Amino acid sequence: MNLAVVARRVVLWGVVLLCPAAPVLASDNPGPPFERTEAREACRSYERLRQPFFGETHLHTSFSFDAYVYSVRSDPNAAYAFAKGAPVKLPAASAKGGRPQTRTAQLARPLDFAAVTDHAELFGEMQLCTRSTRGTPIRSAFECRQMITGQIVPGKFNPDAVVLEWALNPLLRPNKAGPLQPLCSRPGVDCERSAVSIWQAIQDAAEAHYDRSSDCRFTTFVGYEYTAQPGYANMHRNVIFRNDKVIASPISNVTTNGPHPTLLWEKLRQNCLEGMAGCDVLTIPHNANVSGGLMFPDPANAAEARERAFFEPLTEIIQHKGASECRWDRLSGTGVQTTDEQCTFEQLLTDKLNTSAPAVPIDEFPTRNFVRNVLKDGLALAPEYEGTNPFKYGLIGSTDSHNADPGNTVESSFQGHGGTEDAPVAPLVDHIRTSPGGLAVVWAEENSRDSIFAAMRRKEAYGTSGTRPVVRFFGGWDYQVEGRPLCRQRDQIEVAYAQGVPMGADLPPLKKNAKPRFLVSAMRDPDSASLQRIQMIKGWVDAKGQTHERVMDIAGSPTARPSGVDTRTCKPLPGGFNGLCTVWEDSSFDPTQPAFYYARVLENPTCRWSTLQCKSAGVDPFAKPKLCQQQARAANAKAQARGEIAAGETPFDNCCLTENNDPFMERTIQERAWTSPIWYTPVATP
Amino acid sequence: MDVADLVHTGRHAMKAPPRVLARLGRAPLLHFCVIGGLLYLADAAWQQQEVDAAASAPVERIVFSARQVEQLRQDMTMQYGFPPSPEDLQAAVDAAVDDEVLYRQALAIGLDRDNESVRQRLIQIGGFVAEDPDMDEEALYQAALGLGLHHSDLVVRRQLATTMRLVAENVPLADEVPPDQAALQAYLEQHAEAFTTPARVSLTHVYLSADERGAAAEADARRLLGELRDRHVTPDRSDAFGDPFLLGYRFQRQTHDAIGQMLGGSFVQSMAGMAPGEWAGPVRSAYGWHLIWIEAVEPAELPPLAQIEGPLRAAILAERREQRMQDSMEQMRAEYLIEIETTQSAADHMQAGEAAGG
Repeated sequence: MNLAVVARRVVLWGVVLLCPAAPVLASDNPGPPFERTEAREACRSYERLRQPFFGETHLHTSFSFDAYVYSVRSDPNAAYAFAKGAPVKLPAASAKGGRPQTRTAQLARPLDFAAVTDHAELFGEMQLCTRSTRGTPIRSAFECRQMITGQIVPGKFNPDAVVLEWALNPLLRPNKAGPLQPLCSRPGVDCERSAVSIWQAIQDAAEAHYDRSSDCRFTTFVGYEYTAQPGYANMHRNVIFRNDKVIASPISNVTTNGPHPTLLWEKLRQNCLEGMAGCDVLTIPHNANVSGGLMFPDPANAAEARERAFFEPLTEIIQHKGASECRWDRLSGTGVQTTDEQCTFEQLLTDKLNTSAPAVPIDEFPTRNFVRNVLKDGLALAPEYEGTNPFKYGLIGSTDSHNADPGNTVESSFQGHGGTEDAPVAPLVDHIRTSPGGLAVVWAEENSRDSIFAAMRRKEAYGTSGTRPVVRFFGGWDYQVEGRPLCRQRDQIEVAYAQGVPMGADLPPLKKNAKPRFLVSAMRDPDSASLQRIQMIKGWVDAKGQTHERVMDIAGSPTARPSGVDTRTCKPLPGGFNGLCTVWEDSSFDPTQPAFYYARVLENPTCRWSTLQCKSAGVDPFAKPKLCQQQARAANAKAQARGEIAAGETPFDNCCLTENNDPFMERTIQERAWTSPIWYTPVATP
Repeated sequence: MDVADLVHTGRHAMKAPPRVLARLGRAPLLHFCVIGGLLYLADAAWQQQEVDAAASAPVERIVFSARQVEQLRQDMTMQYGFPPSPEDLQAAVDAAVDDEVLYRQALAIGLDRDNESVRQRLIQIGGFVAEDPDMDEEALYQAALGLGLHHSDLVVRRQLATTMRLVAENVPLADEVPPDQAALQAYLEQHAEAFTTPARVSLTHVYLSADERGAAAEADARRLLGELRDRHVTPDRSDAFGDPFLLGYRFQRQTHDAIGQMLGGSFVQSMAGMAPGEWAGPVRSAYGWHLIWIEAVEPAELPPLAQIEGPLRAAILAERREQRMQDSMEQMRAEYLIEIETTQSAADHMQAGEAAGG
């Protein structure tokens, strides 16, 4: 063989083999730390040290049966437009069958990202009954007439009954999880194929509103809700896809033949992760406070623990149906595995979705309805699953609104969450323990699907109770505590990443004799009250397998500057902090004990939505009890006279619930942020 | 004087010696003016008769009572969480009166007959009030009509008013001409702000925390400003100065609204007069003091006509529809005598509400 030819071949192969390395060698700008799985323009606003993006991960529109029945007619397109700042139409409180749509809502501050997550179980039926062309025979089937008119018995408007029928009636849903009968059994009707049609419409809406230009103003995620709820115990999960490569039809309770999240993950792995190139997905559990203890069961084995840990990096810590961090009953002075008095925040009375059930006493409340207990149990369970902590959840907030109004969390303009079910005023005051819900915040390099999804996967995220404080949280062994110089250094974040890990991560390997140090820095929401303090919550497990927790104030103070509201006008009193920053060391650290740490940032008090609405209805929660009750009676009478409530109903009595006579209710609330935890795991000793 | 007099004068004039007058009498222009004048007078007399006929028919009254005004005020308070201003309340009252006018006009032209949605609605509520809920649809409909539900039901009234509004908006104009280039250009010049893309600014800032530095923060900021200028520090070398700021130190191509959301409206206002390429400030935000270096300003831009022809045309047509609607509403309103009661107590209520509202 000719030497020249050989030489040429060597050069050729050398170039081919080295080519992939060339960009890395040549450029001084390594690619982003996340994988790019889609084609789009590069974002002009890219921050290596990451920026905060505010969004919604749990939202229902007219595509969900329990929104439609309550006269919500705004669809995913309207919901995404709302997230970007457009007004959305809501049904009048007295609307029937979807008319009239006379209320509107609008965000003063648009969101950065949102996922519409309608209930997948009834997609086929919704398509047939509400989205097929008028005149299609199926629309006059009695199931469809129920859905469209909101009546079970013709002439009697009763949407509650329709929801119950569709969700639970053994005649209509024989397995409680199967397709709606006999609608889906009629000749010529294919509920599964119709489900694909509505699923396509959801994808189209997400694509239409996803900003793929270099402006990167808004990101959408294709998603749906897996609505598992055996016996009212809430096991719902939001399924969020990374990009536009999604499964052909949603895997719902119907597909998994009942409430089986493990089957959901198995099928997602089959059809998405392994079955479709470029497909990626995660699931976010619904707020666990109404799960009857079933949301976080002990996994069956290590494989299941690993699957759960993989598919579920985040969980909701707050949404419109209350908060699920922890629970403290101030009247009895007891809590669910806690003594934290801040845990009266946004609590419902029941432990399951059935809110008309009697209140559950605090000592019978399932402990794993609350995320802090779940995090503690996860530490204790890890040894049983080959070292995998099955409950290593990051924390975010969402709304679960059924009004096609993602991120609509401002207390002073709360109009309810479910169409006519809780529209202002009397029906809303009747649902006084619910609230506008919270927001999901992620620290990501840019506002794109890949960047935000990667942030959710690594749990660099936090939840807020609806306002927009900006919070950073880092853990490491080397941060200087004395004088907390990091709080004054411009390169604070650069150093924080270099010498430690952000929220959601594991502490770097232990240094001999060191104690972990944590940097927490928070800035107030300019449109809400000032900050009051930062707290650190530590959970750990001891050698006997017992879990513990401790809550500590680490910055700011409840008493240093006066805080509260003017009870006449609800204006916050002056005082508080615009920003708080500290470096805190765990002086009681024991290197043999697995632990987690998360920061909770508390704002100064502001009036709750219920206080504002009661006041404008003429009932003042701040008035003396006798006067308040008098005003409540007058308001009830007026509402009865106007036909807004039935005789004997007294929703305005709720306005007189206060910190003095109710275990959880508050007239003023302290809005807050919860960061995802940072975990410490001892290195196994041989 | 009448025609006969004129002719007389003319003849008389012709008998008289002056030839001028004679010529005048034969002048076509004079005949033209005379005949035109007569026609005009005749028409005016006719109009008068018509107006008299209308004036003699009874005028319908629309009364908006003080109680209704108060109800509206309360509804708005509940919806928005705070009492409405007098202007907002007046606007709401006017809108309610317009709805009533439209509703009555709809009845007058018979929009309620053969109207399917009205019929369905009446069947629906007929079922509630009927003694026998299993009656068939036609019977329910007649029962509802018999009870006058088509007059009292709020939903029916609203449906009719909406339909009437659509009719009024879309009355075709005989001389409707699609807007030409000149019309588009004129509209664009008149409404430039609506089509202008917002100004965007890129800036770097140095932040001094009021919480960390306390009362000394502003003085620190002024001192630092001097230092940055004296040492000719450029933005890319400014990361050694000031306090950490979680929202970042560089804003690229952000609109004033976006910056205002992050840092407050007064920050944006203070930015307004700053020239690019130098350190300026200190500017106050919700968090503390800032020294700003404006790097680039993209001024608000009005796109060329060719680019926005579509939206322009749509805007002009919408404006014309709006005008048509207003003209129709005026005509319709003129047929009624509208009385809006405002009592002293209603006015007092509004004032008290304003004082207490947060």
